[in-house]
Amino acid sequence: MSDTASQLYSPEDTSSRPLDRSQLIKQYLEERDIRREVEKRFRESQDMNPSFEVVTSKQVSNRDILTPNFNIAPEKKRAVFQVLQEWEGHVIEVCDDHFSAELVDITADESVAMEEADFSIDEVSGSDTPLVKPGGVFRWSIGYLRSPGGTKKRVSQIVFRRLPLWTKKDLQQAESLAVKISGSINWE
Amino acid sequence: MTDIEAPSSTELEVSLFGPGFGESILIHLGANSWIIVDSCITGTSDLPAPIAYLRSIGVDPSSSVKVIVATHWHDDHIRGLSTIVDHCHEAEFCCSMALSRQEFISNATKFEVNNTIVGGSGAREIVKVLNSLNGKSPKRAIAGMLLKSFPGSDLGHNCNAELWALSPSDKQIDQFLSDIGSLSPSVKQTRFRLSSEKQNNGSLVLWLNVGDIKILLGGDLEETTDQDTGWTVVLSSEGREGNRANIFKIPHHGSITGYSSDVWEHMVCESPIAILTPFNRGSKKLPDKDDAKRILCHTDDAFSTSNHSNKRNKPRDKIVDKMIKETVGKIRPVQVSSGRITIRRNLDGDGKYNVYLNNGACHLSELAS
Repeated sequence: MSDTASQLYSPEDTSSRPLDRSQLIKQYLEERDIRREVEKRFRESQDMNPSFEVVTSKQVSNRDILTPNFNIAPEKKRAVFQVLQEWEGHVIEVCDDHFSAELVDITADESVAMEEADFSIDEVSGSDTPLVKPGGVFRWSIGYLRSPGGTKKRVSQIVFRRLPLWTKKDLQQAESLAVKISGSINWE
Repeated sequence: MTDIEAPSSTELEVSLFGPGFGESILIHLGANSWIIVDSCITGTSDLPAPIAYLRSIGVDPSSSVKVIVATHWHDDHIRGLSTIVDHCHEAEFCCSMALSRQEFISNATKFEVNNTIVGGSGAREIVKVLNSLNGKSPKRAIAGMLLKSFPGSDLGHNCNAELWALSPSDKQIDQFLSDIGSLSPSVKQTRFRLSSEKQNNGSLVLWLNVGDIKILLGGDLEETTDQDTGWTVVLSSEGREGNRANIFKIPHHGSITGYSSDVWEHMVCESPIAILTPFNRGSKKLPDKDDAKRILCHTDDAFSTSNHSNKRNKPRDKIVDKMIKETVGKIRPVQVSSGRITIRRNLDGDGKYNVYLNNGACHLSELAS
């Protein structure tokens, strides 16, 4: 356990000596904070509090590292959604019963849309349907949902993002930036 | 990309890149002086297509590119343009008069500031470009404006070159700003990605003279019934003095909405070399068979940077593929392969044009059948 942890965090400095308990606890707390932040951001991005835990394939392989036993109370067992593939999509056109969207492959760490697909509006939950319009942004996740009892099923879910609202501060900030940009260019 | 060598000092070259949406045109005027119009990323390189191509033929873009023109502003159409501006230190930048207006810059920054959309706000690239222009003196193009002249003595073949803007008109600029204004966000509005719809009415159309070679670059301008917008303005615009183009970059992917019979009748010579890029997005696939046939009625020498079938799906885990099939049927790559059409003619030679089709670029007849 300590070997694996030391490789992750300081392989050169600590490979030849065991980590002491205080270091391990410090590492555990840092990892726990990171994991909580990842989960918090995922929930925020989906604007929901899933009743399941989200793990990426990388987290699964490091699972023993993320939950070392330091006499800390075990977490309540929850369903785990293991993401195999995830896209961020934006709607480009809406027809009667379906919409077309461009997809950014988040799993492949891409930042521009390189794919597109047509989705049935039935795939979208009722509360999300008002968000199905050009420019609307959603997450499409494919993966396994593992129940606490151990059963596993394939899941494909589309969740429209409730992106942050534009605030007065955002618009003021944008206006200042626009004035700054305009002032810095000497148009002929 | 390295299938051909750099053009000679006296050779004019027009290269068109088009990966599926977005396009870029690269022009060699002579003596290693180049113009870049718009930008696209082809998928084979992180670099914008024209920069990757210039490097592959041993040309240094930082000193060789003299002019960069943006005919569009939306991310989907000018991917990598800010990288081009950053690489080409000696180039002058030109864009539509509309993009210099405070209303446009203000709207673009509203979408970009504090944006969290992974695929970009839609205005990411143009805001980066505008930031890169800090301290520079770019040109604001409007119909009938001479953007740049190049004395023949600097081009290795003694033929003067002139680059003109044939659009947008004042009315097009007003309409463009009105359309953009209608998308302006307000306080407490949920963020959304800026759509690229309705942007073609501000598109630049360019005319380039290099000696006896005349080139019409149609941008994405679409025809309208209004005498003060669309191709009617271009037909009456100054700059070409009754000349007809030998090379025509067909507007708006060869669609019927970008077609004007008057343009073929009055602005281009008989059987010009016509080039276009395809558009693969949503339910629209341009050009369709009828579009291709219509263009082939005007010229036999028509080419596309790709045909629609030239697309490859990403390899994925079998389970993921199965789930994709169950949810949406199939997923489509929006970008086809990085096709390139290159046209060359030696200005000191016999007047013969050579056309090179690279990496999936094809004769337009392939899209007509």
